[in-house]
Amino acid sequence: MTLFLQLGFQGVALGMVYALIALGFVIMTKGSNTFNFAHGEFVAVGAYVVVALMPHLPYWMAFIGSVVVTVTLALVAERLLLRRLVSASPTALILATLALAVIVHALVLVVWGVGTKGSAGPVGSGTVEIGDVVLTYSGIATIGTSILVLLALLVFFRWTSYGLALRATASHQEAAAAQGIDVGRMFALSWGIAAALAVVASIFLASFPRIVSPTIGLVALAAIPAVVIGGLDSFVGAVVGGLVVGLIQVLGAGYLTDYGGGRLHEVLPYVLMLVVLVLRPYGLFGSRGIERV
Amino acid sequence: MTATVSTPETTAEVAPGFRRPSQRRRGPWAVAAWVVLMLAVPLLVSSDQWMGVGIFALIAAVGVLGIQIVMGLAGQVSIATAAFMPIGAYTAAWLGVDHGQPFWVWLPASAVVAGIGGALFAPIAVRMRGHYLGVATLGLVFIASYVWEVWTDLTGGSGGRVAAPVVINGQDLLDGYWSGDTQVLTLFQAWWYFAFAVLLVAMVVTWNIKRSRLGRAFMAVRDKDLAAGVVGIPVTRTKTTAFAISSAFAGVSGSLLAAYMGYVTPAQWSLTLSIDFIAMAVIGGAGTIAGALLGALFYKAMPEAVNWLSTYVPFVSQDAKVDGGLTAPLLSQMLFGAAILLVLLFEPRGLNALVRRPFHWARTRRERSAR
Amino acid sequence: MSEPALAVTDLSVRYGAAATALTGIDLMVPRGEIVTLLGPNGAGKSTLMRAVSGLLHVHGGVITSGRVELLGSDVTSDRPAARVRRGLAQALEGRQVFPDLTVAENLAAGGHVRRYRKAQAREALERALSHLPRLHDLMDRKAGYLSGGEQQMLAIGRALMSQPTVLLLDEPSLGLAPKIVETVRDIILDIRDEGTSILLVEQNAAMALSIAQHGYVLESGRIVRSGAAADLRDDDEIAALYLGVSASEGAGSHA
Ligand SMILES: Nc1ncnc2c1ncn2[C@@H]1O[C@H](COP(=O)(O)OP(=O)(O)OP(=O)(O)O)[C@@H](O)[C@H]1O
Ligand SMILES: [Mg+2]
Repeated sequence: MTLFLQLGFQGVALGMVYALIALGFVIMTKGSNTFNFAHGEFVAVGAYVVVALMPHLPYWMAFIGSVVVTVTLALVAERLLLRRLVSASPTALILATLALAVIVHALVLVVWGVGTKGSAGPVGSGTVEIGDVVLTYSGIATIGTSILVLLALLVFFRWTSYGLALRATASHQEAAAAQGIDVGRMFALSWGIAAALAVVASIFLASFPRIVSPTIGLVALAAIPAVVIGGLDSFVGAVVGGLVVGLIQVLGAGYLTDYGGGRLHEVLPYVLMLVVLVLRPYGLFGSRGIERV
Repeated sequence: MTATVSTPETTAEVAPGFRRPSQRRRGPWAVAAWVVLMLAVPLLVSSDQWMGVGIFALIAAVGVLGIQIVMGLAGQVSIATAAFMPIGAYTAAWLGVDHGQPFWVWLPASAVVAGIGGALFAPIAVRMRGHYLGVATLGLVFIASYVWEVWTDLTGGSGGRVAAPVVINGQDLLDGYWSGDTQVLTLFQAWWYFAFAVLLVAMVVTWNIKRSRLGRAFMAVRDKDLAAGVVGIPVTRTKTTAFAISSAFAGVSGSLLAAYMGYVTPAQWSLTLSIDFIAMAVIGGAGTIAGALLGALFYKAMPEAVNWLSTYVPFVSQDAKVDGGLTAPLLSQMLFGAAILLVLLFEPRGLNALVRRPFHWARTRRERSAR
Repeated sequence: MSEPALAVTDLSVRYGAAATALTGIDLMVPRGEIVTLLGPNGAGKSTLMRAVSGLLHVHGGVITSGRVELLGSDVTSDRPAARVRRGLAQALEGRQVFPDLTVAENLAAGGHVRRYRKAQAREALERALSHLPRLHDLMDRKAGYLSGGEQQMLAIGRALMSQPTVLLLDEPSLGLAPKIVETVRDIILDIRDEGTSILLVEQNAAMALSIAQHGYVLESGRIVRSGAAADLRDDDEIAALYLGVSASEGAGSHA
């Protein structure tokens, strides 16, 4: 039981990280009709910039700096690339974001090399114990911050004019334009928000005991099964899917070490994703839409 | 949004990157001249390094043709090439090494088994389109590469295993081709001809598919996904066929690649490989047979060119560095990504169209002045 | 105050490389009046609406010549948002509500461009709802689940939220039962009486001509007739083509 609670806590913490990344995917997909395969690399950029700035600045300024850099990168990519491909086929869009991922990944390696860096987290390696369960500071910080961020997003989308405009654009692009909503600006806004979420996710994805390494972009892609399980166009689905994937990975790593070469937990989310796609192609919370037959 | 009904002419604008292949017939003379030129390459190119690049391109072009079919003709996004290539490679290794079968057994078998793999995935794939389909095929790659790593009896685990050899007249082509004590063909020449022969078969098959009823059914599914069923085309069966054919091509490409390298490891079948193959298809000119080879050639030649240039450019180093800096592999990766983006933004018909442009221009000029 | 609410001069539009959709259109909506634009399917009515509202590019169309003036200012190359801010609003053909937003949210999105403060938003909402009382009880319903008539009212209400001076309505009676068409007709008159100028695209010529002061008839991208609504109503040819009566029966029989 102790082990279960212990793993459950870590699973929820990791799941919240995936939820933030998954939300980025959903917001971009809804807001700009593009599934951005380069989002994982945005997470990587976020983590690397924080680590690079940490020695020189107070932590919160390093974080803000990273948000500025990553959001700028996303906006530039959206403007130079996606905006010019608005009427392109999904194939062209998918390929464009894959190419973007290749370029950004190479850029990260050019700037920071193939070696590993330290932790990008806001808190150290301390722990508190509740009964026999050991809670890491970084886990607590992850869950707490994520909940705050989710609440902020909820407020933004529910109760602000721009949040509403963004949802309207996602719902019906031409009708939004007809109301005088600047659709191009909404595309940019969705990419900006997603990039900011990527930075928040990145510091916790590279929090104790994890560190920043060149594969972090690939690790972030584990949010993709989360998105699909929840439904490509559902905010709630992204959060639930993120938690499911986080829990599967951590519980799987804890309990399934004797099976499948000890790495079964890494592919289980993808297997679950394919199962969901077969049974419910639009995800657990998604709506039946035109993208799926 | 209101969907505009696409007439055949406007399809290209709706789907950049994937256009209807030109209906114009190229003269048989041009094809014959091209074949002769390809046969002469080993005699003209003396550099082993560039011959190696060429052979890799020929092998890759087979897989790219598969992508042309599923994405270019049938309009289905597939990032799963890296899941189907190893099916071919390991089928070949199992038959060719573990059971001592000759290449004319393992090569077709790699196509069949990979094709079946594609057909098995189809029931999932046919239910989805666009981004969802891309994401699903991506999941397949992750699952497959895990399977290769844990199925150590077949794959040798992360250490890898020996691949099936191509043996002709008792001679392994990796030793070149000998007549008595004299070497008739070097390893590179022998492999060039072998790979070219396989590619030619693949090209002929593709060409026939394109002109057949099946090819037209593919295009109908691509252009009018939902409406195709209405006009009497069995959408599910057509898509399944497209996936099966495409993965059969990937299987052949995978088994050839492994055979040429002589060794095969699970790590080489990563997501990156899939991206590379789609990129080759798009850079070359999606949906065109000639584009497949052009794209593959571009993809294989560029890193070599960058590597060669990097010895002259001071700030580009040759190998990976722990603390950053521009290296030749990274530079070629960035150029590769940039090439994809440039093609998507400025010449959705790819290199094939770009190469042809001067000819096309000359011809229209000739026609105009003839009037 | 003398300039018209909306003036279109010598406007030509084409889609893609070849298809010319409008040729040399001249049209004017005086202040505070209803002007109707009639014409068969494919005549170019919606295209004209798009040219006025700035949404042509969404459909791959371009203006090849001519001018669109809104309240005396040239807006031909302005973005849609700029036109809405100047006082133009529209209900698109086929209603086009935001299906997964509630009625209240649909209406709020219509006011986005005005950056209302709370009190102003409430006032705009009350004004819009005063014309469309039906929406009162539907505020929390998802727009996608409304009936056709309710969606049409929502589309009109959403357009009113930006408190427009000029309102474009593209076939508001499309697919509605006669009873509901009556209601929509009264709503349009109601809005006009508040001082809003209206360009009304209709296939239902009887309804349109019964409330408009002026009418234009568009065919194959050209204006083929125009005049006072009463004259058009009495015109045999128009009656035959659009009012569902044969020329021999004479006109005005609907009145
Ligand atoms: N996106 C488009 N691309 C190409 N041609 C178009 C496009 N939209 C409309 N057209 C063409 O322009 C012409 C005018 O169309 P439009 O929709 O403006 O007609 P309409 O009068 O509104 O018809 P309806 O009464 O059916 O709504 C038609 O011939 C139509 O085929
Ligand atoms: Mg219309």
